Amino acid sequence: MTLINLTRVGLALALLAGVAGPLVARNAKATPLKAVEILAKADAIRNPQTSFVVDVALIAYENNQQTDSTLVTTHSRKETENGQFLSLVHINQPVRDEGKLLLRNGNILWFYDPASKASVRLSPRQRLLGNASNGDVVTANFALDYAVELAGEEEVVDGDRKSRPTYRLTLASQSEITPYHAITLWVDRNNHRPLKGQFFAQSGRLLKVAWYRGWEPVLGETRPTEVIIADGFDPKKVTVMKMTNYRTQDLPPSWFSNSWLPHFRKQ
Amino acid sequence: MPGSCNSLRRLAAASVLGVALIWSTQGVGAQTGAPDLPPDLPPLDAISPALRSDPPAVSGLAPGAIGTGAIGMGERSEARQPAQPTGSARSLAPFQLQAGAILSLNGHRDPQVPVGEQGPDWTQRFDLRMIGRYSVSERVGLLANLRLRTQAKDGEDYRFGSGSHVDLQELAADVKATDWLTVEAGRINVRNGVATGFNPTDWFKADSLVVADSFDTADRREDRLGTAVLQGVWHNEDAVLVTGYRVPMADSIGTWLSDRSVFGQGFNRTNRQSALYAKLTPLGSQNLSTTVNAFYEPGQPGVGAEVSGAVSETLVLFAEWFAQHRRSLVDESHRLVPLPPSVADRLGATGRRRLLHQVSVGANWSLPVGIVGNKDVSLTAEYHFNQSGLSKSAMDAWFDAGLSGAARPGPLWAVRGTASRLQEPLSRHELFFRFAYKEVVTDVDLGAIAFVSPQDGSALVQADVDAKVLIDGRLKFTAFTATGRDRSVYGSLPSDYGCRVSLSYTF
Repeated sequence: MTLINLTRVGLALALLAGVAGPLVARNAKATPLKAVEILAKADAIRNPQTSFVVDVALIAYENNQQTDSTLVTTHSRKETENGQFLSLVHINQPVRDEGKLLLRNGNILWFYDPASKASVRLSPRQRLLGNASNGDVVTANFALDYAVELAGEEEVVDGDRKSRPTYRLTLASQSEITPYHAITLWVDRNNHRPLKGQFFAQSGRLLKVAWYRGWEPVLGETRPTEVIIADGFDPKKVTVMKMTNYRTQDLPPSWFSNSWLPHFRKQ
Repeated sequence: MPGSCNSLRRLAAASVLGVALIWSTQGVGAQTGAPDLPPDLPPLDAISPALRSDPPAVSGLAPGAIGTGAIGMGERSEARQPAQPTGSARSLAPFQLQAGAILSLNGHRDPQVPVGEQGPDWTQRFDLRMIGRYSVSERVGLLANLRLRTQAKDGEDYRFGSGSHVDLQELAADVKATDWLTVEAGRINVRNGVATGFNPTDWFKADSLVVADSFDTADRREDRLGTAVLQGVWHNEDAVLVTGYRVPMADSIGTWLSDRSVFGQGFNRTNRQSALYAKLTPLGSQNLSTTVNAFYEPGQPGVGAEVSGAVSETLVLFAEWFAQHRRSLVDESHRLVPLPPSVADRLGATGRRRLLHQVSVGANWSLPVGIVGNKDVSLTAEYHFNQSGLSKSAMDAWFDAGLSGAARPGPLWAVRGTASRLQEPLSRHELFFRFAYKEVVTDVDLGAIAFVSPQDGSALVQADVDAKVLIDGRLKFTAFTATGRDRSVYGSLPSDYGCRVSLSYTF
């Protein structure tokens, strides 16, 4: 069986999780209020705070040359109880992979192939793999799952190569389902937009660097519609995510069960 | 057990080499400096048409409203259509058209228990497949997975008429009756199970294979025939429930529905008798996935369950169990191709159905960053228990009967053929391993599987290299070998080694 290139598909998970209700951050009492507020606002900008569907183009580059592209549609359901997002990614292109699905519900990760009707349970780490390895760069529920501290204020170059005044936040994982052990996030001091993030493994190893750009009005907020992701192991490998056609949609919870995958119909 | 020791040594050596290869290609420990600036990429729109963000032309919605939040929350934006990216696109929308060519070469040995006729030294096959789903309306769809295959083999004169076959692997309609109920009818590949080497809960695997190019269960699932069923899928906020009825089709149903002609569809095998089934998957957990199921066919009821959960970032454990009132492999074979009574006794035949358990339990370990960097390398290990299979003493009796002439080779090999037909392990205990290394280099995957008999240490090992060709093509090279003593599960197979090359393209 061919496991799809989870690399790029994982990217689509990015959008799923979005951020949970920013003001329900459970770390609010344990960390300085200001840092939590900044992170919550940045989270709310990164992703719509409702169930939504979006088309995502994932373009891979190596040495500045395009090497691959994948088109997916992500379906993200926001859970009312805990603010988490459940995610279902449908691959649209390449044609060979069309109809394959990737489901994420916390630590539950399933890959489904319509040709064999088989669902394969993947480990949480496998949502991050591949040269783009991006699944959760923009996916993680930062405000819900990380303890945050304001580490300073500094100028940083954003995705459009412009210098911006930022807050530098350091995030430490407080949940078993977070894909990264630690994150450094730079947030624009003027408007709380997330501009750049560094994502680390438990070993302290830098896994990837992401820049957010392409700011456009989306579902009531100005949000990044492009994320540039550099591989922490090989910065010559870069993936660009471009999100289009956001739409809100009620998504039944049953869609996010492995038993539903053979019955999923593209919307 | 020198043979089995050698097999294990070879496997161990391969594992060590694999890890060494990964280590060497990763430069583990070599810290790369964090980039401070975003990469200076060419303008995206100039590179990939897929990145165009122009809003689609849709009726009833002003283009400027798209992406502005003009549509309220909780409301489904019916008027909007997903972006239609360009790039590689289907030529037979809404169905995919896949073409494939497979060349297989096989090396044979003379097993201790003689087999009547060896398989062909080579086979060559060409497939043309149409697969996809057509939405007739918002609530009605048509699912199809049709294949035309034509095959030439060593020792036979090729003629298109006799060497070809049309397989309706799936052909079904689905109707969304309500928001919480979908009804599906037709030939459907109904599949269950979380394990990768053997799925006890996969009720309809028996007799479903029409070609077997690979020993990998995962590959074989793509080649099996579906089952004619009528099933309903209920779902609410707490669970997903699938219930269904397998339509009986007797052997006398004619050439088109049986497998007696080029267009024969083998319903006499996949739908031999009626059956009822149900599968319930509760929702709610963010780690444990659980499904319970029940299956009933006349005289052979069964219940089962599967569960999986992550115990760490890199490790997933899973288990699958099914208990059914049924015949053992020996009894099933003995019923159709009788063995001498004394041999049947020694092989454990009882002549009756009884409650038999099957279990797959295993782990999938994704190697951590500290070992493989950002590469996708995983190992799966499973233990399979098949109470209907042959114990070690029964396996010894099988060899004794073959060598002493107490039973003719035909009925003896029929026992093994029954295991293959039912897609179950022949022996009572089996180990299964899978190694997968995605993107060893760009667009090239490595994989290997091994079935190992702990009863005698023999093994069947298969390895493959799978490479992307152009945008939607794959080139795959597979090699296998069966190792072990002459009197062992895999060392006694007539197939000694083999390889195959396949090229496929999706249009």
